[in-house]
Amino acid sequence: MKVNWLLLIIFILLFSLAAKPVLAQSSVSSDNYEITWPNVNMGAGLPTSSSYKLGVTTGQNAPGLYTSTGYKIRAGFQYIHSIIPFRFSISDISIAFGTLTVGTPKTENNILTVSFGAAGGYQVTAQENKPLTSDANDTIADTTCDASDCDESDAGVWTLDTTYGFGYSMSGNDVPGGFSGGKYKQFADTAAAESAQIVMSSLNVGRDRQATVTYKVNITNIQAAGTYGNIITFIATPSY
Amino acid sequence: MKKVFITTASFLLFTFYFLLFAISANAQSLSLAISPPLLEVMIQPGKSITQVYKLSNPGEIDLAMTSKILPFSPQGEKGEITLDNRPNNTLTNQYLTWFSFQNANLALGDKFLLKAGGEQEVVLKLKVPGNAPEDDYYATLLFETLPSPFSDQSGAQAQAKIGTNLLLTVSRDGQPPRKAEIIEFKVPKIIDSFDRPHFLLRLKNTGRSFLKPMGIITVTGWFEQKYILELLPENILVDSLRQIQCQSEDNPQPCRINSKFLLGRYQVKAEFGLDQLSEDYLAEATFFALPIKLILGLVITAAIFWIVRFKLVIDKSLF
Repeated sequence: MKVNWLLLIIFILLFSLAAKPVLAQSSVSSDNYEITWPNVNMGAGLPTSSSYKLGVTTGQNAPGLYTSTGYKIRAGFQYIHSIIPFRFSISDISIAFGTLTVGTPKTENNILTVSFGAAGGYQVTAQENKPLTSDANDTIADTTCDASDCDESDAGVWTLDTTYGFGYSMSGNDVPGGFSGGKYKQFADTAAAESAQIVMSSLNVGRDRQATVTYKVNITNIQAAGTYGNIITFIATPSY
Repeated sequence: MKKVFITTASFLLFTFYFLLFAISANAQSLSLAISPPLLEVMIQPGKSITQVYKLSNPGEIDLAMTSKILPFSPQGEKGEITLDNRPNNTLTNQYLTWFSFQNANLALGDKFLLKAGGEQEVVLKLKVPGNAPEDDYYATLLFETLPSPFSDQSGAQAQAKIGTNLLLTVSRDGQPPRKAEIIEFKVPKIIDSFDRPHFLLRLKNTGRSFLKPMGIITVTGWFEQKYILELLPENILVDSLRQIQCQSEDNPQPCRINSKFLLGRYQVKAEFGLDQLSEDYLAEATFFALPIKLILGLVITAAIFWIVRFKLVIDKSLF
């Protein structure tokens, strides 16, 4: 009898020590993703059939429930929920050309970096607030490239030292086509109501996607002396 | 002589001092991160909700920031957006006034300092008026750096803006009309057996609320062998088109079957529902897979073999 009691106490002790809390598996994760099936008020899970499976949340879909709460919210991408935050970096916020010499083009680079893990992709657009402008309101016009064939939406070759103005080129990850072979574009000019142009975009996910922006300026011998500047705005937005 | 010595010594000392204590001009980089990247809300008129956003500065410099809400419209078929940056957009898009910050010390549009390595939590409040029309409203919450003062040399200042999208449906009953149209289901007619066929599904949202297609593409061969592709439930906004991607091994990717060798006739079927798994929408097509490259290779090899052999026979007969 005494032995039985002793065995029972040992069994209870062992059971208490070894028992782990039962947790509902609400997510599966990898280095880049966390796939979640959040249980929101109603049943959720993985519908399966003999031929396919798909993660679905049915939370708050019932009309009665919506009528009582008055809203339904989903934050983030529901089906492939990223553990990579949407992050955007610019390597240098000040692009200094120094002293400009007539007929001697100057170039400067900076690097744009994007990390994005959610479904749907991302885009980065660029625009300038105005052409390079001096305190005396003189401007260095946006370039039209060697064959006068480039603007804010179409790139053109700019290799000649006798081509003047201000423009940019892109290289690296996720950049639009058309920049290869020494091609440049104008920045979309907000003052002229031009729409911002995409300089990086991707449907895929990735960490540290990098693209180099090459800024180029060349002045004529009639360019008024002065310090010229403008603001280039890069807008990084995720997709929907 | 003494004067020359003093001048030279002073010059050398100055140069030495300059080289020793000169501060290197470091590039000023900036970095911004935001979460969540997307907010989907369905709400009744007269109701309000809040959502917390985390804006962080993983960079090495403090950033002077501000915020704004802009309307956006879909651009292209791959989920790109166009922001409406016109100064009077609040007048034409009254719904922008429904948004505000609920932070005690920060209002929407206020300037604030985001310290290097720091984080700012923003509580966005959405209050929909009782008379708001039942419709879809799309906006982007933008956080932007304030440009630094210009230096004394010619150049440009870079300004960064980072956004997060808001998809808002105002509905009384939570059941807005959802309708889609299959604009194109493109399947190649004939492929090489060693190629991996790509299927293009383009859908248009013809309803009154944004929606997600949910379903699969099934590829069935002559011998009932099956390949299943899961459609990625991406949002299609009202009156817009979207090319639907698939998902495999947790990655969004083009709808392409992972096959090594295909032969014969294959039937391709896309079945999906709107915001739920169903077979409400169906598109079908067929393609043929033939070993074209293999046959061509064999034919060319046989031709070369035959020519060589024929030449050898002629050479033999001559000697």
